[in-house]
Amino acid sequence: MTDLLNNPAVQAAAIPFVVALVLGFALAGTRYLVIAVVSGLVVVLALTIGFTFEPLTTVKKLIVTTFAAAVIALALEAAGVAARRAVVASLAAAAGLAAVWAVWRVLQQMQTPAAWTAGLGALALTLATTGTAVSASTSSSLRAAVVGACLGWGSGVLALFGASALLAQLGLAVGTASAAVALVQMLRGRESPLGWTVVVPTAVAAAIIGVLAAATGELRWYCLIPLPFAPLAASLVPGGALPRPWQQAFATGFAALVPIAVAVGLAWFSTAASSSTG
Amino acid sequence: MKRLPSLLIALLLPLGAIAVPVTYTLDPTHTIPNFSIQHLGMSTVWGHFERATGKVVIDRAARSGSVEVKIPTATVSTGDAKRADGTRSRDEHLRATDFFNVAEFPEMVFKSTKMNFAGDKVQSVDGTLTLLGVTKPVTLSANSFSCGANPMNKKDMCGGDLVATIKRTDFGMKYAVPAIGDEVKLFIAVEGYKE
Repeated sequence: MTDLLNNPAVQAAAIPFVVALVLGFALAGTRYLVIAVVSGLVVVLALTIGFTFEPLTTVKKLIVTTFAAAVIALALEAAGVAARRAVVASLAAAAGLAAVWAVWRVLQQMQTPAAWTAGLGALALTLATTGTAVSASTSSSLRAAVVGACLGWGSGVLALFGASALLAQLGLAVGTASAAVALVQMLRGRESPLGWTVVVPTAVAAAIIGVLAAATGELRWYCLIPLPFAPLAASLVPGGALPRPWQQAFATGFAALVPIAVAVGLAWFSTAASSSTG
Repeated sequence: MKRLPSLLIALLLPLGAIAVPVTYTLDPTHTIPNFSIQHLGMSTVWGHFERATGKVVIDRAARSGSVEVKIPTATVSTGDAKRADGTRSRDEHLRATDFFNVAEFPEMVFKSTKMNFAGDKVQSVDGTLTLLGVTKPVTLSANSFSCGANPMNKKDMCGGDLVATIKRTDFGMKYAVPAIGDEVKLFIAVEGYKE
């Protein structure tokens, strides 16, 4: 049993999926599906590095930010706040600043020009990813979950190229939990009452995971550029275009995975290029 | 008047017995922190760091001293620096957030709080190790420690082997325990020249 729980695939995918699926069914009729998504993160933390937050390292800041995003999402949902332009912009800006906070100690080690470039890049990527993810998800909780799944999985795979298995596990866990939430809606044959906020913590986590994989690992920064285009690609599939939720989910997911595939391809080729040059 | 020089010598003689602390600056090419760790409960992986710097101060008369060693974490090496197929190497993984997180914590530092002697010889050094932003007490035992003149350049130097065992989880390095062991054996070879 211990060996099973120590298996990275079980930690990052199997158990988060099951937990999110159970919670997803329990919360399917509510506006609080984001709890099911965040459960994936809680599970992977419990099985890997635990819940100590001292010292506040980059990874711990990522986790704090993701939990904060979930709390904000719940508060917005409880208050019945619609995804108006000002709300989306504020969320995206806050996420961008949180990304800079997460990598602050890394930026402090850099020369000033490089630190400014890296900091602005982190802010821009997280702002763009969160903004496009939320904007693409306002009309459909199913699309929100699918976009979250693609962003989470994409960031997880990119983190592997960044040489961090832990970041990969965190990304894959939130992505898998989002996928479970999407599956709940597919199995029920209908979307949950609005849950656009479902995508908020996943988008924030995915963007910051990408930033950390580049800032602290071996991932080339340009591999992250396609990430914000994944939600945009997903929004090309009109809501209700296909009769059944599972058809809608697969079409949306396929569209969202195209930019993700480009990002992974860039990471693959940049890794191959660096190995050939020695 | 003739007795004045003799008197001065007699008065000043006891001052010769008061030793002053002697500082030795560590030689980065001969100060090598090594470590070993269990892999999958089967074999032992050995690694080391390079370009460590620091100082050793010894006051033999007072039986006291201090040690400070700064180790650049990005220099970690386990013999797997780069792979021809482009896959992630072990050393790249060790530098990432899972282990030493070198981008955020470029240094680990050992600072002594007390140097323990057995006779004239350094027996152990109590101190703290700061790794990944966490500071914990660590005692380095001196397997060997001696001082003398370098036979080639004739400079006064001291050197020795300092050993300890730590638990990496104490410092927040929890990834892949127990597949990769929690206990890490440290073997720090130090040499320094008198300033």
